[in-house]
Amino acid sequence: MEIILFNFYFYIIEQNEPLRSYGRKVNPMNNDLDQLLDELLNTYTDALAVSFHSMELPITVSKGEAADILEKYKDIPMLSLDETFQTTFSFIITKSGSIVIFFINQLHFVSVYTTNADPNKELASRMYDSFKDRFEQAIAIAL
Amino acid sequence: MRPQQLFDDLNQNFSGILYSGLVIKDEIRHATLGSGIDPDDHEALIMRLYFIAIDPEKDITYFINQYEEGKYLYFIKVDEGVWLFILSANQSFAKLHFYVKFLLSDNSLRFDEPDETRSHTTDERLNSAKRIQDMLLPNLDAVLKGLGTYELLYQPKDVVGGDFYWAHQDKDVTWIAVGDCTGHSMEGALASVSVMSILNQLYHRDMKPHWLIKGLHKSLSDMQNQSLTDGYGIGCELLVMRIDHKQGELTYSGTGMPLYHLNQGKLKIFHTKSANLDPARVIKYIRTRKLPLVRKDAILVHSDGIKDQLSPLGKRFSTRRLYQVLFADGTLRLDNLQQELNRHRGSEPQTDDIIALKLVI
Repeated sequence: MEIILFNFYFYIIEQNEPLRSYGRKVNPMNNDLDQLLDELLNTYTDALAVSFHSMELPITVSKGEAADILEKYKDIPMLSLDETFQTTFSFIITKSGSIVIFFINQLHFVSVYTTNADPNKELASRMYDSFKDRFEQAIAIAL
Repeated sequence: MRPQQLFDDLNQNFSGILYSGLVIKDEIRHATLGSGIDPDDHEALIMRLYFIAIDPEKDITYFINQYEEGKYLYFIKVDEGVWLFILSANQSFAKLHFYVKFLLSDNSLRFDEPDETRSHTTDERLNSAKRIQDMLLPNLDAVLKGLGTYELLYQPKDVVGGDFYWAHQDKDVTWIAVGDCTGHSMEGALASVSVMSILNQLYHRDMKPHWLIKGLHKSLSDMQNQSLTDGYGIGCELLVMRIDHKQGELTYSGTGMPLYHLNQGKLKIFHTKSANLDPARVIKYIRTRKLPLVRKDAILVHSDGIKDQLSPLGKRFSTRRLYQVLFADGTLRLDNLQQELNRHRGSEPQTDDIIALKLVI
């Protein structure tokens, strides 16, 4: 019984404390995700940082000069999911800039931090359309 | 600005708002629900977002969640500890956001009185206004005693309103007017009380109905030129009838209100020109018309609040439907109208003040 509880405890720790990396690869499975985030950071106008985290994958990858800001808001995507898991975007506007969150298959979150005071919905939609399928494929590989 | 004013304004200017309200001190307040929306489906998410939003470390000023089924939830801080939320089916949230910012830039929300106190005070004021308005509304039983019967549908949008009726009896002559003043509630009541007072001052047994209307508009115009610095003053559409029972004659004059005359099963509708757009010109050319009356003839006058009543789907009751209900069995029937209006209206609030008066001579 004690062994089971012990193992369960570490299982919980592992789920809640995924491997973190700021600007470097941490998991051989996230090569594609890593490249995609680089590409997103370079393509998304005004983006200062991007990050990926997930409810299913123990991976957190953050990139860019303001990656620590995204760390501060990493609990938001999960909390902003509606009961029917239909959420596609969140635009969070703070005093220092905006964070756009893409929900990939409802359980994986890609966040983009920009200094724009108001979210550019069209740009976000364009980015979402051009990256969504590729993120889905990368996630499928990582899973 | 009161919260309710904010929501009224938003609902008037934006379609697709499904659910809106404020979260104050961890509670949803002043919520306004669209039809078919169950608040229980959304409250958990709204409260979760609220707790994210008030986290002082996050410095969030507003955010928007977009859902696949074409909805979005908009959350904006309006004051310390006060967040406005709007669940909308309209995708143009940028417009909504700028409109909310515009509204809140000029007006801060006021919560100085709790809701209960405010509505109590408002009710008291409205009831006081009703007492005054009732004092000026004539007792039709007394006026028409022995001269005919009447049916009245009088339903202000609020406790009081801008629609009114006015009557005088002098020997064998009965004067009756039905009016619709601009505005609802207290504003409309003040206008209607002013108009009734002016009619009482101007009225003379032997004058022609259009003289009374001309006199009324002259008085209103003089009054407004003296005191009106901006905005609009008192506008009033009305139909004035003078019934000479001895001669068997009805003379009438009016603006913007139709007169129905049912004579031996034949219905005639006499329309009058609205004075709303160009009162000076309409009043200049207004005249009195004459109708012969025989016993059992029915006369009906109503305001535009009936045909303008909206259904929950935004459809007007319409003039055509009004004719169908009134003239359902070849007589002018007012008794069904209330029922039909309620059925059409459903859960929708009353659109405008309503008055309809039927006389059988």
